[in-house]
Amino acid sequence: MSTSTESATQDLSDNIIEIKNLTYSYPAYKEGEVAPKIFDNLNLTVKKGEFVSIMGPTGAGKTTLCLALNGIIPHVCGGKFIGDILINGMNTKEVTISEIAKVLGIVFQDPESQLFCMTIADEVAFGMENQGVPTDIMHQKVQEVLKEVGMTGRDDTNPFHLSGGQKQRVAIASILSMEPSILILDEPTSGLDPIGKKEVFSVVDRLKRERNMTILMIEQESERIAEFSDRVILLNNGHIVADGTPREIFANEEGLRECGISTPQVSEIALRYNEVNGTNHRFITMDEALDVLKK
Amino acid sequence: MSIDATREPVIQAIDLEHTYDNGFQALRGIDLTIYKGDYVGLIGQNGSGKTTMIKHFNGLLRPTKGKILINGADATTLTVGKIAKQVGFVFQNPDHQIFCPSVREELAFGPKNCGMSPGEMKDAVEDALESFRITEFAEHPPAILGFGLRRKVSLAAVYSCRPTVFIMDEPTVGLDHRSARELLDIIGELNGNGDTIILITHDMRVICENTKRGIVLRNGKLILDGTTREVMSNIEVLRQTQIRPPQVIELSKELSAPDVAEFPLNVDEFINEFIKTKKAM
Amino acid sequence: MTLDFYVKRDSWMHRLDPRVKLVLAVVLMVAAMLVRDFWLNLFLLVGMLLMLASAQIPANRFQWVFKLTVPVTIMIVILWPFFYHSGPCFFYVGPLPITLGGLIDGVAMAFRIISLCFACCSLLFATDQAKIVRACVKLGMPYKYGLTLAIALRYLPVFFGIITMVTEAQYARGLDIPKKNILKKLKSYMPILTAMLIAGLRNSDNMSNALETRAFGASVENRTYYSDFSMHSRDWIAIAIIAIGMAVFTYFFVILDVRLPNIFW
Repeated sequence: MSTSTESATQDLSDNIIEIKNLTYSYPAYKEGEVAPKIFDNLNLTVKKGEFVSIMGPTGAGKTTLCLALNGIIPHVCGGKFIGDILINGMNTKEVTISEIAKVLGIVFQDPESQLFCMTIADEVAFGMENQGVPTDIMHQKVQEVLKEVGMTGRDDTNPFHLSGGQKQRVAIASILSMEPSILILDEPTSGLDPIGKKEVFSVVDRLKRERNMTILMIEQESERIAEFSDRVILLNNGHIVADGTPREIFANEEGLRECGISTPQVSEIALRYNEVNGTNHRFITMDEALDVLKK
Repeated sequence: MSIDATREPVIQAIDLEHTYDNGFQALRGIDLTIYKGDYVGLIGQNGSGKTTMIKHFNGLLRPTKGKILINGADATTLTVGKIAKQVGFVFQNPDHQIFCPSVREELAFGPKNCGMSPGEMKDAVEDALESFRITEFAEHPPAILGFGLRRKVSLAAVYSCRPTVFIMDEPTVGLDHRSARELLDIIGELNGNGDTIILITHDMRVICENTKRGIVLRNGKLILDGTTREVMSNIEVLRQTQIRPPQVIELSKELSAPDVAEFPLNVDEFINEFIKTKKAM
Repeated sequence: MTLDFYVKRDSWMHRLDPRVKLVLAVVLMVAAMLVRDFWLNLFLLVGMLLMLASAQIPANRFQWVFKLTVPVTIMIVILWPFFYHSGPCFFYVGPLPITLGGLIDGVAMAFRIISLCFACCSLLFATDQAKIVRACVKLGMPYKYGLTLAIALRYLPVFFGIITMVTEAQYARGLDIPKKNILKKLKSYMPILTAMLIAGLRNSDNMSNALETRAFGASVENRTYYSDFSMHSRDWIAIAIIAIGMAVFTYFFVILDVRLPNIFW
């Protein structure tokens, strides 16, 4: 083992997700027909520890991308799959979904259909049960992750009785308990009320700060993306049309509008401010905007 | 808002209360008049009584105290089916109402229930297909369409009954920005044609950029009712209800003198207010 | 609406191993079905009520069961005397004598129905559903069936929620369910059923993805369990008591065929 700083830099340079020349189409509805390609020669790498947000209009292939990363595509869905996806060096075509699940977890959009157990504790333990984690460690872990998402003491509650935000937090906990190194959040807050959104985002914020996880978040809320992301990827029609820091991405308002993406209002204000004053500001947060505008 | 005698009320709630069978009091004395042509944004957290209130507007719930008048008639004297001809209700999840083998049949379901003649029905369906720009999907099975299109079908299916009041529960949830914009444009057209719109959404940008009037519910009570600008500028009250107004409003509050009571609702207004004027100075 | 019967308490019954409670419930149900005698039925019912009361089950649950069974029991008490005749006769309805024995037997029948319900409830009130499923798996039910059962129980309230929403959505489009004509009524439920089916399919699709993501289907031999329980001495004592009760009952009322005295006439 080398020193910790060295190994950290080495880890950072490691690609934990590699998508190489991925071309995919779902199985055709009718035999003989050819389904349209969702991805055509897609390439993407994500480094360990990055927080990447993926934006794009409906039908851009965001959810398909999630399902491909954890192997549901092509293992369950079938379809025409060309190219390779490497998760932590494992080729998704060659390993089982449950093996991928050890390193990559997904929190889905609909809170109801991903909580299928009768108590919160069972829900959080389910993944560990499948992986054969010993009972005493499981009990400890359940308490740990419930604390992490702020649901301590609710072990015996039926998920049915929870609010949307609480449900999503339990869904996150049930993935965290399996200790994946990659967490994918597929529009985790769409459909939640503002309180629920706030709850979920504060958990996401905590994960980003406290866990050395690679996080991929699909989101529509540009203001939140600006707050969290190291990197934003813009997906349209299965192609990556932009890839950069939030500041770079949100400065390109025209490109975003073309993809039907909303920008944070402060970024719009920056552009308009620049037009009037001939400056070159790129605000992505309220504080940045206030700093300039107050002068 | 006090009662405006010059405008025609379409829905009136008079001291409306509702207590559920389990003893939970969801509404505590709501007095509210919705006028013809209003474009109302209905705001409130889950559990604030929004859903309970609007279910009274289309007869799915009956008041346990107080009264609801729909176009002047006491709602308790009308069946849900009768009200459906006047007040259209679009539920949040389009999948809860889609069941026909084709979009065209889906749109014809309401008119058939409402007892339109075949001629009227055909016109109503064509009109709905056109208004919601889904004519090209008329023969498709709605269940396999994408979410954005299913959403449009669910709106069109209510529109085809030809109500003049539309209540829409989170119509933009799950849609990307462009599809949401497109849908809001169509809703704006309906309002422009004189239809009354009640839009329920948690998205304050949608409220600011589209509605004319804002109503905020909290714990079963009406706590704010006024023009969207008045309501949205009430940052303190909104914050108590855990609602964050859009960034332009928060920025304006920071940038304005403390006695300013009304703020810009969108980026254009903000620029005019703070940036263009600054340059002129 | 939730179908959650469980009452969280810390009583002797709550502490018993769920498997023992499962056995107890089955024994009580069989007993309720076998016993015909009025006194034994009364004894069984009162016994069960006392047992549940000692397990700190609140009165409103008892009321709920009684309320649920009222229509059936009233019907039985009224109809039974028409078909069963013994003892002194009150009056005739046409050619049928209405007798005291018939009436008493009807009441005993009603007790049986109520007892059956309480036997089920003794399990459901004092054991949470997750543990019942776990008990079934421990008693040899394959895990996949156990999970399916658990999922079914979990989604029952969700399912009712969807029914309500779908129904309301269709009402809001002017659907009127005719009250009289059954055929028409069924036909007008079609839209609701179809919409339910589509919504259900979408749900199950999402759920299967969520299951896969949590490593469901990994090598099953290695599976461990979060909520595990084992038999304690109190459980063995309970089993012994149940066994003795069964033996005594069988000896007296089946083998010796003891009849309790008839004090009615």
